[in-house]
Amino acid sequence: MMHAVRQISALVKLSLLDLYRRKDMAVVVIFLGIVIVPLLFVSPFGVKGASRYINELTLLLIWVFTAIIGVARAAQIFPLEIESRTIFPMMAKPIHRGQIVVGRYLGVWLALASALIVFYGAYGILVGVRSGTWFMPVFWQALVLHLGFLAIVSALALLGSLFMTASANVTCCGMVCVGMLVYGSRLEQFAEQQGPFGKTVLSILNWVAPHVEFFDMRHRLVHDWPSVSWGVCALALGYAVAYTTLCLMAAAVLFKNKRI
Amino acid sequence: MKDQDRIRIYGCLGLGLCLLVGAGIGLFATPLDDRPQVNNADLFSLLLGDARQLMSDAIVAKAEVYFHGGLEVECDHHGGEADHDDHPHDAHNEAPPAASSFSWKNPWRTITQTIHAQEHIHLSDTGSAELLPLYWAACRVAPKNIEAYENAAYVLSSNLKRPDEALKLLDEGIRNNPKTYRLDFYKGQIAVGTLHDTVRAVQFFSRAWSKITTSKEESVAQDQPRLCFYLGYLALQQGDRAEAQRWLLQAQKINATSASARDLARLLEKQ
Repeated sequence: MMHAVRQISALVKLSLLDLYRRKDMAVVVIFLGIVIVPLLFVSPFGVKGASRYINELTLLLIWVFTAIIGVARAAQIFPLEIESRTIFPMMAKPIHRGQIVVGRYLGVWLALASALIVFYGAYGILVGVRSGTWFMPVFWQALVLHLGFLAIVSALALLGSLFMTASANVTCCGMVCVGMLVYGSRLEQFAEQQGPFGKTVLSILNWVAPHVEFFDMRHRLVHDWPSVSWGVCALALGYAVAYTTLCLMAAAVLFKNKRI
Repeated sequence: MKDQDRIRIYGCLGLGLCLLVGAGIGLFATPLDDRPQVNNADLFSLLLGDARQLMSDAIVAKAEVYFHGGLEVECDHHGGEADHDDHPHDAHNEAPPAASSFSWKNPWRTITQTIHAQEHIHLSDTGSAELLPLYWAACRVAPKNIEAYENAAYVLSSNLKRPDEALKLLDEGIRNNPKTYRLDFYKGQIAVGTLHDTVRAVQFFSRAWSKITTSKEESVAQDQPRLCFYLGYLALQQGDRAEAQRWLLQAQKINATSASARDLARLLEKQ
């Protein structure tokens, strides 16, 4: 057991180093700075203290960038390894293919989590400076749920990378994410309005599709809504863990049967 | 000459002909006076054209969403009309929305409804400052967006108690939209309601009246009797009963059953 954990942690470290070497994060941080910093000094009609629009924009950018990095990185792990043939020395070692999938996935997710903590930290400081409220409970809930979102999205991209080309995978993941963020909460309602066939299809979709909209707490955070109960957060996180596990299990099976 | 070259030459000629015909239709289809004068316009006008109005409308809609704590709810705020009181208007820091009961048939709904805010709320007066950046952007993007000027002026005068700045903003709006009566009308309402300055109010309303008679805006039918009411009311305030009577007749002529005409008649009866 300890041996397997050690093997996975070595793979995690490898993924983390890989992501940080690519300097994607640095580009995102610089871009965020370029967009956000000038907005900090704007006070329309001489009114100071209005900051929701900055908060909303900042959170939107954080969501977009982390989703892009998550999908792009997870979608590239195995294709790049296979293309550059670095997968072979790894597979020559006494390690199960499922462990490789889990290790590489955890590395990407941890790298994303570390970047997300930096982004949310910057956001928390920005809000604190502008409005004087520092790290409210809803802030922590938003951060935790955002981690759940990234877990699902990167697991989906990793799964897709094993049977789709990189571009098709990224496009599909992007469409699924955006589609579910926009329509996910209304799928049941749409199903009710359809005929028998449409209703069945949409009901199945409602159960199968990744409900990433659960993890979007931007409205609550931006508009100072009260925090939700931690029980509901735990439920949403449970969903994220279950969905991610299913994706990784499917990925492990695919990777095991894949001819490299 | 090869076939490919021939196809290329005829293709170019055909495309050029289409462009010429299109330009000709564009040139002669619209009278000269009605054409947008973009030569002296700013960069926004040159790059975006009519899309500016759409962008500005979207920003105003966004401000409405902000006013409702991030939710898309339809309601009228500053018209003071009847539909305002048919839903609760709790202040911003009221109790959190109650979570819906859990259903195994659709557990997703429970999570979504709990996590995503559902309750209808309005920003407090001081919280309305949050709307100003959006209205500011809406006015800058499309200076012809009268609604943006009205809403920004409403927030400045009613919520933030800065009527002088609201009047300045409305003046800017009038410079950009000299034909509309709505901004003069709103200036009059601020002068009466917030500044209690009847002299300036009469000036503003009179200017609005001079414009409304030739205006083709949709709100004319609704606003004409209201304008008559304000002018009649102010005449009464200044002790000019005959003038007030004249405005009542005018209001009744436009719409005898309007609330404004009835209210003005009631005021005259009392005096």
